[in-house]
Amino acid sequence: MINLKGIEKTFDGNKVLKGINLEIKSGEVVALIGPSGTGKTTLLRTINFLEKADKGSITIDELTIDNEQVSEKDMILMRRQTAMVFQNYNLFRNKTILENVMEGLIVVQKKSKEEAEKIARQEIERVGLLDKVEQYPIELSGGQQQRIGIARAMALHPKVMLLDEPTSSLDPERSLEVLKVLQKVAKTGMTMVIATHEMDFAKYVSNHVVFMENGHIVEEGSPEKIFTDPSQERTKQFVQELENPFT
Amino acid sequence: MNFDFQVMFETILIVLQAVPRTFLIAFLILLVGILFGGIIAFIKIKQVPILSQIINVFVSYVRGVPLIVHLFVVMSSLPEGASSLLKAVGFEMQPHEFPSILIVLVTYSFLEAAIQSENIRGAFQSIDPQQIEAGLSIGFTRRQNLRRIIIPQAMAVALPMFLNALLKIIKALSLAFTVGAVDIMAQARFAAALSSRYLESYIAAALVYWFICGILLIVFNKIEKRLQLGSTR
Repeated sequence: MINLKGIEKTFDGNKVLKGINLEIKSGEVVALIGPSGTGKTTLLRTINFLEKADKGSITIDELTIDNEQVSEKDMILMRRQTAMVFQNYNLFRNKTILENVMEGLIVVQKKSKEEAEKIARQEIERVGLLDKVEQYPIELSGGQQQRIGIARAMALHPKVMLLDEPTSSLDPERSLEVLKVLQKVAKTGMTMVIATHEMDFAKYVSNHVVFMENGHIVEEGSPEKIFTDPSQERTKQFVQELENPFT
Repeated sequence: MNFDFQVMFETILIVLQAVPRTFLIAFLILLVGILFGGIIAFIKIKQVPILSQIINVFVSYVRGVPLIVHLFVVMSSLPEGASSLLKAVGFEMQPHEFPSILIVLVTYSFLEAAIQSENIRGAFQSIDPQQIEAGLSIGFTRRQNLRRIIIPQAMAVALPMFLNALLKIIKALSLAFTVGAVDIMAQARFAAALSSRYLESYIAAALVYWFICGILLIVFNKIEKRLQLGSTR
């Protein structure tokens, strides 16, 4: 279970997160939706401390961290409970596909090379790229790189997987291949939080939709509720505009 | 003018004797240069106060003064300085006993440290910050990130520059004869003095330089090709 309480974050006097409270149950697939620049990415980055929030607390299972007095050690501890999938994939350029997925298992989780390779190969197989293990990221297409990004995150068996607009650098076809992989991952019971502009993913794969705007959570609920019967006027507007963009 | 190929071939054999020594010195200079260059780069990246400014002056001096002037400055100061320093602690050494190879090592290493500090700084700054974030996101500590991601990627950028520097040092060492150290060029001059065949001797030196640098280039290209696969682009 993940619990965010009163998360605030300011960049150069610009308040990006204005007190976010959010509870995510184990196994939930949360879709963070909303216009660009509303703080979806920042929220994800504060959960794994790539960005340290100015205020508020973050709980992952039994571990609660108060952002106002967090040490470097705590941040690393929290990062090790989570895994991130980046918009630009960010695979390690100096490592092969297999090494990319094994890296955290060996260096962080101190697994043996054999065990790490076994886990890595399973995860790479899940994303359907077992024939690429010896290649370098630069030799793969964007969609393939992102699938490896997902495999790298999955291999760590995190308590929660954070995905920052994982398909927005991809064309529709490559997007679809990544989304299908994510659907598969969701079925394993992995807790996921995904910032996305893919409304179909939010509708059909997620089971908890959070609509954010201007650093606030405007409304949250099941996909059915948010997409068919939102209670807030602003949510209704946003959803309608997406459904009928030209009317 | 008659060109004596016999003498040229004989001189090549004599000159070749200086090759291992030249290599060794060049390699040593590069290593010292990288070591001190690394320290300088660290100080500049971290912007350590005062030290940064001192280093800026040092680097601009080293870059602005011709090598041979540099050599002569060190030659006219280092042996005297070392001699009086040793005297102070009770050892007797005349300035002319000071090994010329040390003059060469000190001068060239200074120069190399300045050059390599810029190369190393550039290599570290070329690393995409997102690669560092990716490392943090899988739970690396700063040290692990440095060791597993940052240094290997910086090496891929810096290594070709290091190899290039080795070539440049080998060639620049041809000036070392001016302070009495024996490298390829100095060896060729000895041979020329003995045979009185200057053109043949210098052509012999030229061919030896060309040959060893050619071989090094082939080796470097192989290494660079390997680096490029896992490269930083």
